[in-house]
Amino acid sequence: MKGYAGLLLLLLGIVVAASFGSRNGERHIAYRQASAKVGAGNAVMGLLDEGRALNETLKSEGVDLGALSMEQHLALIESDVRLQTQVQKTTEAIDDLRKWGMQDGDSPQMFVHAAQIERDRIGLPGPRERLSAWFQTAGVGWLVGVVLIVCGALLARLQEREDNAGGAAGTAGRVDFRGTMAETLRRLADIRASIQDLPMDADAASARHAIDQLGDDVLTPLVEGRGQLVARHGLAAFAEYFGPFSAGERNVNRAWSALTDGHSVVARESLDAAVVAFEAAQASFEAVEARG
Amino acid sequence: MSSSSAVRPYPELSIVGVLLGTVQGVIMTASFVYIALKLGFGLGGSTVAAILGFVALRGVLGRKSIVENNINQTVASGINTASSGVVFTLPALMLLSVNDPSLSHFPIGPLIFSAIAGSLMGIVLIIPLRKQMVEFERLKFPSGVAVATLLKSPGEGLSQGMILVGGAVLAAALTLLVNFAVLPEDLDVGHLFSLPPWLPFALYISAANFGAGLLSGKGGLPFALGGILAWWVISPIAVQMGWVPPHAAMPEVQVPDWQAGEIYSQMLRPLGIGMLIGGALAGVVSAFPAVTGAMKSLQAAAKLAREQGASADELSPTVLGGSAVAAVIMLFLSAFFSSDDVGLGTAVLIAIVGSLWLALAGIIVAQATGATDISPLSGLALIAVTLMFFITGGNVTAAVLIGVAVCIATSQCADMMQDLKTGHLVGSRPREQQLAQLLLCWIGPIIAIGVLFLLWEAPGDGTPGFGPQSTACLQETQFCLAAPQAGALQGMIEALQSSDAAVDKYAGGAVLGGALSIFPIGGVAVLVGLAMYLPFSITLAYGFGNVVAMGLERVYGREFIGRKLVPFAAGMIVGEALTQLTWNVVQTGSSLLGGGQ
Repeated sequence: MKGYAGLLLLLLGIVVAASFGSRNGERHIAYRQASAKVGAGNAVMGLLDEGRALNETLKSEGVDLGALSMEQHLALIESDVRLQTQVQKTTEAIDDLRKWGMQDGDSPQMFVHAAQIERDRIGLPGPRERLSAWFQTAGVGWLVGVVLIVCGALLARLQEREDNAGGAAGTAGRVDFRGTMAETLRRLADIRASIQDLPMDADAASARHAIDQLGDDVLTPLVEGRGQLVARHGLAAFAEYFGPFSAGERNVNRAWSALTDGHSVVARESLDAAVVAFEAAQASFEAVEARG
Repeated sequence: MSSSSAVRPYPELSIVGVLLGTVQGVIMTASFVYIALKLGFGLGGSTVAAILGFVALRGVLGRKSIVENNINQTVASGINTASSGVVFTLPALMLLSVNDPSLSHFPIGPLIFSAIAGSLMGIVLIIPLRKQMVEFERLKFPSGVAVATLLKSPGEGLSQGMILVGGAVLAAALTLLVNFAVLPEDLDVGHLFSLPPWLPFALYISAANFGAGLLSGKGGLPFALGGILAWWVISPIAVQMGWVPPHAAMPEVQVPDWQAGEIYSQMLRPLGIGMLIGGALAGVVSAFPAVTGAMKSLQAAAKLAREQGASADELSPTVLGGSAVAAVIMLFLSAFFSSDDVGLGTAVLIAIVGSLWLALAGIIVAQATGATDISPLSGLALIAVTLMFFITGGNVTAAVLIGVAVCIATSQCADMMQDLKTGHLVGSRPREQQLAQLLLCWIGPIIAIGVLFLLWEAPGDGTPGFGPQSTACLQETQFCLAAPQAGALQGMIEALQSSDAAVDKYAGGAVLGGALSIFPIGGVAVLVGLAMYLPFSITLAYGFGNVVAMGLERVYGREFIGRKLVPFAAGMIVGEALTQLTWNVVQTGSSLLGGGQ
């Protein structure tokens, strides 16, 4: 119950804190609005530049637009896809600028200049001003969200502690480190015996399969349930025995690789090293348990 | 021990493996610098190196050793990490120098020193966290799993090999369909239902992204959930509450697009960066007991190994500490000699703050890559440059030089950790991988910077280049490289010069990330922050992969996931990487021959 309540509070907290946290101060918003106007003007200026470049290209192809009559000009636009596209894009963009408030008779240059003046008049708030404006605008909502997150996270932690202390049915004791180690060492002994006389470059599919099974049936469930061990012992104590456990696991993987590569000697050495590491993990686990 | 046939050595950190990795790394670095300048994105080298290593070591040389190929791909990708680190940052300084000639005389020595320091520091700072990230947290590192699946394929049997190939073929087909514009990059479902752009519902069409989601399964859900909260809850709230009002004169039809752009660039993205920082900081604090415990056990293991005359599993803390100190000194020297305006005190401050930020950024990138396979490198580079910009009182040269170090270091962190994950899965000795990457970390920066300078000037006709003095750009031919990432950072620096830094979002997001870290799911703040930082289509498609994997596990069980889904998803990641690389090489080649673009 606490877990679900915690999760709900956490989600609500993220929404509230991130919504308010992402808000901008008024001056920043005004600056961005003015920047959008400048951007619209600059887009038209860019298209006009493209048009001039196209003009030059046409000139290099022997077409001088300035020397054409209006009829010839229109006929050329009809026949040249590049011109057609350019004229259409520019006309649409200039229509857009009119919607932005560009007066008839004004040039795009004049529009951009006026928009830049408007933007510069507002000015971008400096870091300190930005921080204080943000806190004034959104600080309370953001703080409420952060508090909700902390409460949700603490509730979830309480639930986790109860689960690991046996408070919730079916979860406590699910991970059995001692049993897992015993089973691992038993299976490793079998695998080791099966490759005792394996020559170099021999096929060892059955031993590899046995290693795969060890991983699937025994090691992976422990790895997936390690959160319970962390909750039970704390991270530092968990690290004491899980480090050697992981080293054992890595040596088992090395044995698998060596068997694939036909190197039975390294496979045997790796399995021996894995046994040493798992026994060290077992001893460290017992020491941690003994400390309480 | 008994054996009926002659015992041959089992190569791991071998001269052949290291040499092959170095050659591949150098070639990849040079070509990926060029590709990144042309197309705007780089590529990870692990997958390609593993496949080439497979062909060269196992196929041609008959060297049957999975762990040797792991060393080969570790070396190759380690060298190649410099390409993205350098391309993202240094060209920005070069481009800025066009309008500000005072920036054109930046010193080459400190630049190379700084890049190597970053490369070295990235490795030594992340190695102590191997146990935490790979063994304790068990981060997924989808690309690392994909490479391990590839390396292990000779022993997995025909059926799993076929599944891997099937995934790769499907990914290749999908990638080609997108590249040929038969399919769009984003499948915009929202458009069909006339949803406004600020309430997006689009799926990024990428087999690798979907495959990473499949590999992450339930563990990736906070990432998808973060994106859903951001775009399906917070974004509509912002619009409905009138928090993104358009300019009074803005044409009605443009308003929704503008609002979506503002919500992403001015609200969610900077807040996401802040959450990444706060989440990573809190993660460091909470993982401190485990890391110190792991360091103690490393020291004990090293001591025991010395006594027994054997080699330890990991590089000793003494070597790591000594290398870290050397890297900090190198960073100090590069800062001090970067510009006449940088005094002794400022250089010390740059070295200390730079190192601290570099460590934090490295952890963020390693965690983000570990959980999702996606790296928030650009955002972190921006913060690095911002920090240095303020510390140096607006000295662009020093800021970018240290930015180069941070970018390379963070790339190294992610790459090293990913390779160590692969190593764990195939049973390599971490020490061998760490040693190989550490000893060769100086190569990548030198190659990447060298190639960059060649392409900057590029005086010959028909020679590709990106500088204004390059013949290709003077004559406006197709050989003029766009360098889009550098253009983006140039824009950021110009914004910084006009005091446009989202400090409010960084601070608010950092506190939010710290608070989220109290929740008992590791890395949740980094995942939610990353979801806000990235375009939603990526997050959603990734989440779709998570849900599919969870559904399959529920129906077919865990064994199905391990035996069928993992090779299939690995195939998807490998297939897209290879197809994209081939595509880029073909496109670049045809452009060089005069037929492209």
